[in-house]
Amino acid sequence: MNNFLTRIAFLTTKQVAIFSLIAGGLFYYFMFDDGSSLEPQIVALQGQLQEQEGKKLQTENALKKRDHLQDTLANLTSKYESLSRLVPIEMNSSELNKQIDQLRKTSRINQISRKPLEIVKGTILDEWPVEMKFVGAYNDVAQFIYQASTTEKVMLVRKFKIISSEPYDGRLNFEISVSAFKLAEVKQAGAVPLGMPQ
Amino acid sequence: MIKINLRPDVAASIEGADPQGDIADVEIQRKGLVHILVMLILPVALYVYGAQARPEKEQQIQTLNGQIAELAAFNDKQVAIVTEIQKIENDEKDVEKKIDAISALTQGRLVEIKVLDLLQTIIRDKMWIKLIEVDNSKVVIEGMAQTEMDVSLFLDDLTKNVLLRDVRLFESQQEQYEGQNFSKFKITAMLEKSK
Repeated sequence: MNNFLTRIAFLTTKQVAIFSLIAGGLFYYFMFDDGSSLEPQIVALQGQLQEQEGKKLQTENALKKRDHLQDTLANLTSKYESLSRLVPIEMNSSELNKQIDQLRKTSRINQISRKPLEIVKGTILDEWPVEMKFVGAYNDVAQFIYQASTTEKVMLVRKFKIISSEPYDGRLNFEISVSAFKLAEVKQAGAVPLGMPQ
Repeated sequence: MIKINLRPDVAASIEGADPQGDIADVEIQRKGLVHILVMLILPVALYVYGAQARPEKEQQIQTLNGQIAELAAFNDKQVAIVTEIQKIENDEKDVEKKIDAISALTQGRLVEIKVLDLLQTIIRDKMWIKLIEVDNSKVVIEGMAQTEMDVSLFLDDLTKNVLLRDVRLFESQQEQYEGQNFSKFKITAMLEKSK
């Protein structure tokens, strides 16, 4: 050891400097670790972070869109609930006949015939058409149409024909086709609504 | 009995060594040590620098991983949100169709009765209607009038009214009725359901 130290002691300043550089170089080459090896990993992670930031914007936009759509849907649902009161959920032939009888009595026209037609099933509404023939004065006929057009639960006058009697005796022959409606039964999930019945 | 003299010059003279030479050795060894220390300065400095720099980068990696994990967890919701949006959009379309269907029923419900009122209002004195037919939106009116002028005025009134559109005289012909000449007419029109 003493021998080694003696040898080192006799090195010139220049030699010491050279050995110092050599030692530094060897250390740098074989042992130095300042985390530079982590740089590629950091760059890759920064790339991933940017990618996720981009997705975050998309997610935030999607969230905003969802909230907006939810509001719109709530408004539409509210509007639909209000409108759906105009159409019954349930209906049967007896109820429809009673309703028509009520209209006829109020308007004081005489019924000649009444013929319920086949129910038209729709995805949203089921249509219950009825054809009728009456005899009555113009005002009574008009009254019947008015009553049918203003029922609380929607009834639609599809067609009518008013024919004066020959010779005219103040009475009119009156043919009318009205339709009552009910909400169609809810189909299984995934069924596509096709609109109102033709 | 052993006798020890603690005086250095005596001790040295006892061992037969040169005190001046020993001092020089110590100085040389000290100088050697200093040289070794000087040679180690650069590696040590590099080691210190590395030891400080690496944890900083490791910390940066840890932070980045944390941020990525947090964002990924947030973004994982996106798929569910998109599915939810599609469902809401489908529900909206469904509700809109229902609204449209019911609105279509309520729109123009009173047009027919308004047209009947109109006919009663605009009909001329020497004129009568023999047939009124409304089929969905198509309107047919047949009647008799004493003069062609009455028919023209009646047609004018119908044309000007907002409840009807495409009003036209389908046919008009002279016909005897109770020994007098009358104009038999047929008018067609379309109901304006939006009014």
